[in-house]
Amino acid sequence: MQTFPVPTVYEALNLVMKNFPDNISQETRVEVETLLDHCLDGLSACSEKFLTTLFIKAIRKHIGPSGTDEHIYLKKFEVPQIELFNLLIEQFPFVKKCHEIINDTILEVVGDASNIVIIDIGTGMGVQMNSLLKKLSASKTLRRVTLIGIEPFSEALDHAQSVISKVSCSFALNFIPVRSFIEEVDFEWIGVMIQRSGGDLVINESLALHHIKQQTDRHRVIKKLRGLNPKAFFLTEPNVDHYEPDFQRRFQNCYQHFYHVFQVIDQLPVDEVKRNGLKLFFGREIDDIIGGNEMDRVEKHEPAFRWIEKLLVNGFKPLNRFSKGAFNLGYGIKPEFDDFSGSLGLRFKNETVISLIHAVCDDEFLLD
Amino acid sequence: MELYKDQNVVLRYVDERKELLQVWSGFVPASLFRVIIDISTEFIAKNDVDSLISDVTEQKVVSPEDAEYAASALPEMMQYGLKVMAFVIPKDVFTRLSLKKFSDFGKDKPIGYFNSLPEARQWIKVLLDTPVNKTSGNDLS
Repeated sequence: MQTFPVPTVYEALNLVMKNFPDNISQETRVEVETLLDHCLDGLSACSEKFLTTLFIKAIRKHIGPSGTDEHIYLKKFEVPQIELFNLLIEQFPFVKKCHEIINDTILEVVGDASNIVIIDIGTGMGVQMNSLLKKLSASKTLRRVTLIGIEPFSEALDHAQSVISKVSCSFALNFIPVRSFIEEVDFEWIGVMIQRSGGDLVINESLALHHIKQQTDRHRVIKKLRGLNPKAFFLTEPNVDHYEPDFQRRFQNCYQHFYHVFQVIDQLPVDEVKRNGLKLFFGREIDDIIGGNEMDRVEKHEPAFRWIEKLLVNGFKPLNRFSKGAFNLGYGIKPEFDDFSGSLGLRFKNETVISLIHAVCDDEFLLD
Repeated sequence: MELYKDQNVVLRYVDERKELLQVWSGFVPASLFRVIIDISTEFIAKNDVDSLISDVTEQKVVSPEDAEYAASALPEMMQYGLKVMAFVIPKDVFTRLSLKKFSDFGKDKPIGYFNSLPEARQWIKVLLDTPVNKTSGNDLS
């Protein structure tokens, strides 16, 4: 016969990861090099090869250099940060649609209130709050909005402040930037700010709480937030277990997650360079999840049911109440409320990529 | 006739078939791998060899550079009179990727891939016994 069956890249990568990080030998180094060489041939046109290359890049620093440098091949897919940022918020459905669904739901929660306080955890560059404020501006009753934006990175927070200050609002807007990690925030001071403002409180966090490294801190933060007695608490989190300490299991979770994310990226109406640039952007997360050591890792995602568990034991309860206005997601992504976990999942094929949680205070819960 | 033997490779010439047989095993150091390729080329140059069979069933991964080195020796071997080459395909996942690398280089050459040595020999026999190959000289490529 003129051909023979070639293994899938996942089959080979899975074997590489079984040996990592404790059984690295000259032979396993050559295996990695061989797999990388195989992936670099046809890299840009094959999502799985691209993904596998990013996994190899993530473990490379631990196994030492070899004959092939993937950076040279990947470099040509680097897209300027600003283009990538726009691509993420304007085209990438797992960001764009989550913002829309949550913001529309916040609008419904706010209803005909005249005074509200919003805490936005992980404000970033203010993208979601910018569009929320624009939507809130259509309100005929709202007179005053206090927005507390919590963000640890100065550059992002300054940008958020600049963007938000330019929003033309039909109400008085008081933006309070808080430069801090959420686990280091002075919640007493936040409480005073809320009291001074006097309105109903809505808390939003989008892709931020998973950066808290320790479970005890995650619980402590949620408990503190519950103590602020919000009218609603919204969470947007990737539905994947990257908190998992076992490397092999974490790798499998990670591959499964990004394999589906990349299939959605492949459908975006942008050119190949931008598509691969976006994949490269997620490569930084893979670097952290796969290549980072346990103490330093920050992308410690948890599946929705674990966040719900934390919410329940700290006095929240989930609601199946989301605005359905943005439910036409496209790209084969389907919104699916999971009664078991109490979260709205954005599902692509057999993977729930990201979950949205709408929680309210459980009045029957006794606070300490 | 045994030309080379150690724990990683046996290189044998089977006179009645005019066949050079490489039987590889385990993770072969790059230097040894290239030496065996060189010995094979030299042997083909000096002897009447119709076929080369590389049995890589038990061989472990070969680096991309070494796979390329082996592939680059093939045109020279053909020049010296080699008519056909066959592989007995490997069990190991990574060695299959190495073999894929080799096969990409040798797409235009008469190379077959088989699950067993008898299958490979049968294919070679049929190929060499077809009248056109018996009468039209050495080049099957």
